[in-house]
Amino acid sequence: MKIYIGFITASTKMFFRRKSSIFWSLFFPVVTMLVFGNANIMGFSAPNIGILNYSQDASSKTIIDDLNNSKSVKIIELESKSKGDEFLERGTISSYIEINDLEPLTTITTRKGDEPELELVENLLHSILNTNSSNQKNIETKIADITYQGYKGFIVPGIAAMAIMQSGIFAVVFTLLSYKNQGVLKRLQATPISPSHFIVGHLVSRLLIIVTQTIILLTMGILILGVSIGQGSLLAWLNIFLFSFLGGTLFLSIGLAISSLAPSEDSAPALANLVTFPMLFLSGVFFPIEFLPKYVGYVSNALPLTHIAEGIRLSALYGNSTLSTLPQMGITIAWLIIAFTICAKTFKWE
Amino acid sequence: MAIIQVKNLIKNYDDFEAVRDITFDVKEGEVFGLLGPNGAGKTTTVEILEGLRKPSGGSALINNLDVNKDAKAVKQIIGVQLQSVNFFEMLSLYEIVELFSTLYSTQIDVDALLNRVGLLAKKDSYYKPLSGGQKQRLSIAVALVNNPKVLFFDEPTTGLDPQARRNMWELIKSFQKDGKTIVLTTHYMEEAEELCDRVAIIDEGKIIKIDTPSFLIEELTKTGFKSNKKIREATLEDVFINLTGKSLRED
Repeated sequence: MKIYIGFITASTKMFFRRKSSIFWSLFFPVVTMLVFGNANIMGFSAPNIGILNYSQDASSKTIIDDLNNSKSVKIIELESKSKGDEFLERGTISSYIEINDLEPLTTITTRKGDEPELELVENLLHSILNTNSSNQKNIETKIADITYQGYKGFIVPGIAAMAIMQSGIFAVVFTLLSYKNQGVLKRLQATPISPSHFIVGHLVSRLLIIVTQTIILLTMGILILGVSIGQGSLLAWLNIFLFSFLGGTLFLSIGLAISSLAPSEDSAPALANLVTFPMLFLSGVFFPIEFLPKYVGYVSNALPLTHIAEGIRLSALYGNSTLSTLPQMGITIAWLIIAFTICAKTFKWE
Repeated sequence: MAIIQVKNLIKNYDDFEAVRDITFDVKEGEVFGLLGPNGAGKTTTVEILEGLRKPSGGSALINNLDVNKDAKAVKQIIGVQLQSVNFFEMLSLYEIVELFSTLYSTQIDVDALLNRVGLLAKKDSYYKPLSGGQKQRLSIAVALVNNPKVLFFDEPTTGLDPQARRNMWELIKSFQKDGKTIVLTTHYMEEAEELCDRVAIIDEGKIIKIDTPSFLIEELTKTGFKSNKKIREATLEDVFINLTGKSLRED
């Protein structure tokens, strides 16, 4: 035990003494978070509007076509009203339109604080309905009791998840490889303890650092970007720690597997980039995966970071507890088992 | 009494016989030199004794413990300085020595140990910026943390300047005075002559000769051998040391 504590302490000290590790694990994600959190990312495209079509009337189809052709909004067809509310809350859409055969023929629902956009959609709908049919259709507008934290709310948990991946994979691929190359592991082999003690100590140290890093990044989001995290629920925070811990273990295992499987020491960092790069863009770190083409979405759903980011985001923004993020937790654990098995099967101490 | 007993030691790699049937004893308290050209099998032999490599055949005992079967117990009583091995770059010298003493479950006076190898003034410095000689002396200090019976030094003075080399010689002599047994590999014959009680000359994985340096020299001169070198009262190294002084430069 004393030996493990010795190694954990030594590994942690070395981490904080190395400027590059502080840069990559804290400075870089914080800056990315601030830059993206303050950028008007969603502003450059037409607003996304959800459509719920309850109508049997063929004319409803032309309304949707006209909305699509107007190019001033992007239409996403919804399966249900609850999906519409969920998308509103998550910012996938800014409002949704229901088309009925009964009065009121159309209802526009939007969020608090989005009144200007409501007006835009209402005007657009008016002009379409006027040119389309002789009979004037009644439009009702509603404001749902939903608060949307904006893109800031999206990016803060996203960056926290990204940092778990980066710290986990690169902590192993770069640090352990350099210890191996410098002969540090060989020197440890000449002592009565096996170098496995050191590697375990190193991994535990990095896992503690990853969980701390998650807390720091989320706190930065609260303090600097004004995002509300956890919604006052202790269980939501606990769930965030759980995702950070499991995600950290998962990516440390992937890092170990990469350093064992890489054909040469030079190719390990390249392989690490090959693994992390797609996840940066396809796992809902910077933008929702709903924005991706459908077939890319299937890839996204297969990636572990997608579910870790989603789990952290659900707890951070909506206060979800572990129980209500079970699907994400399940997939994360499944990935953890896969990575751990590969890592255990391929790992070489030398 | 022989503290190290090596018997018919063999080490084969896929298509290369690194050590071919080596047998020798090292007596307690002596400095034993393993001499030989590059690739002769010196380091392989030493690394088998240190428990870092498994022998393909034969046996080796240190203090009556089999280095292969009782590797852990052997490692407890030996101290090693390895070739081209580094320590944790971002730990201070004090922290490195302390960490290694933890690995042997011992508590030691780290300051006293660092002082012995002349690194006390550097105890809070990180490993990374040290000079070659300082790194080598730290390696020696780490080899001493468990107060070992036997010390293995693998080319301890390679790449050092004359001052640092002489300093290393003094250290090795002082360990012998403490009663430790030392196994030393080197390329420098003047070093072997200065330090070793007995030397084994190894080539192509075999021991060609084992004896005291003075006996081996005498044996050669008896055959009528004459060195091409003129015998002088001093060497160029003496001139160098005389002009630049004996003190270490890197501190």
